[in-house]
Amino acid sequence: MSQIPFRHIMAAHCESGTVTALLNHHGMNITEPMVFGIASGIFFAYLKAPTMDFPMFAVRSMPGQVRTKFAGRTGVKFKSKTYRNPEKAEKELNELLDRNQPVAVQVDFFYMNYFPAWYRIHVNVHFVTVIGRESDKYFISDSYHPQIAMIDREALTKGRFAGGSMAPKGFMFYPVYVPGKIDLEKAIKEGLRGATKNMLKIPLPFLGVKGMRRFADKITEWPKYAKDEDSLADKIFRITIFLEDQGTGGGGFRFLYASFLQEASKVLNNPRLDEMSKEMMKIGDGWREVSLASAKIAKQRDFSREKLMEIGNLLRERADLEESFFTNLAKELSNHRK
Amino acid sequence: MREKDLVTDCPYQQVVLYAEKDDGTYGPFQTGSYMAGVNISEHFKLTSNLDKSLIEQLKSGVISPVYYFMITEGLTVDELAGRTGISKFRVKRHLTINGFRKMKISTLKRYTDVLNIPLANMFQIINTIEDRNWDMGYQGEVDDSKTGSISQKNTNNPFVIETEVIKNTK
Repeated sequence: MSQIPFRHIMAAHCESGTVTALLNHHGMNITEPMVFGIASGIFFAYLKAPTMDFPMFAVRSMPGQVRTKFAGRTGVKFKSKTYRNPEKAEKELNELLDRNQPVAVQVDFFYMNYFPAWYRIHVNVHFVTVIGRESDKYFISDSYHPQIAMIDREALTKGRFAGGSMAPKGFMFYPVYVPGKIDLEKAIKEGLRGATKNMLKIPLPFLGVKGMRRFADKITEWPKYAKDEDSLADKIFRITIFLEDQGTGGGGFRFLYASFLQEASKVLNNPRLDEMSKEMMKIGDGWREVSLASAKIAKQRDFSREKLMEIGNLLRERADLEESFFTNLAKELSNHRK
Repeated sequence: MREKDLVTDCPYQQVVLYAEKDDGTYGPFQTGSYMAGVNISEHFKLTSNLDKSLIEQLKSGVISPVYYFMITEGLTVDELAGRTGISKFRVKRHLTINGFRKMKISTLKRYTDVLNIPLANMFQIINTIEDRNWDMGYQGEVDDSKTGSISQKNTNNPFVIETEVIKNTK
């Protein structure tokens, strides 16, 4: 067999992009921001466990939640499956492809060798859509790649069965039921409510806006975790990568979320949400400032407490603004209900 | 942020960003990666410095090849243990020359499968004609027209040789 006709488009984020492309393929006209927003993809977490060599942070919800939350809120049903046996996983993938069913799979990004080597890192939560096969190669629609790519069977299997944290275990999914009409208003409201809860209500000091404040407080401690100046510079550069380049749509997903709010305001016929989308865009601009400041500090190798505090202060401002934003969003939702 | 303010010239690494269009609507557009376009030289400088330092440690027998590849691929002991199915205690031992010496070939193969390199590359450092230390097992780009022969010499690490492509000067 060969390639299934599939509209390949680049997307900001691999999971929301994969879900969007699969739904579009199955006839649902939906955008990436709408998928991301309904799934309450916006988030923040600052993590440092004793077992971790270095702290890390996340600006989105847990991998996999975009699909599950979106499905739960819209009535779309996905068939998903993990495997222990790579041969069985490959056989079932091939059978689905032979039936013209594009299939999303979870992989370790490192083995996606259609990207240059310097770009690839070991991260087990990358999602791509397999859209066909030809002899020993598979056609891949990867949201981060401008064209449809090809990968050899061995690399795909390695990627699907990489071990370690968040190991993919051959995970795959595809839609099996897409409702003819979904209650978009209800789904959007649930998505907005979920986002306010995630950002404000989780009673843990490292999640949501509390997590941003923790990051702001702890960034001055980063030098003590680094082996040397080079590795510290690399870690600080990663702030820029995580906010801008690693599939966020820029500004740590905040630009993507602003687009969602703009679309949502039209669906809900709520002009206040349109205003709030502008506020979110400005919040994203602020995250961009964090990125630029981090890149500058890493380049200049000035890791003094004062310089790191500059990033900390920018983060604290983000926390204050997002706390106020999501509090207002919660109020808006409750007004809209009345 | 307006779309024009986010444009980065970087044709070899494209990303999708969301921004404000001229008509005030928000939407996606494709542009170059900021990190790759603006900071890639710095990134390469950092990784090159790290690599040089690791190569020196590898050649002098301070670290084992497993340690070298673990660091260059951005893995931690926890991650490498999880991915290979080898206990953390044993992974830590294999990061030293003494532990590496006692390792079975079958165990080493488990590392090379995860690290995605040929087994033979656990025992050699390959320098390219540009005199840059060759990164991994899958990345070598050698201009055949300028190459001549290959030299291999010992290092102070009993398990590692240095392989070098000698430029053909004729």
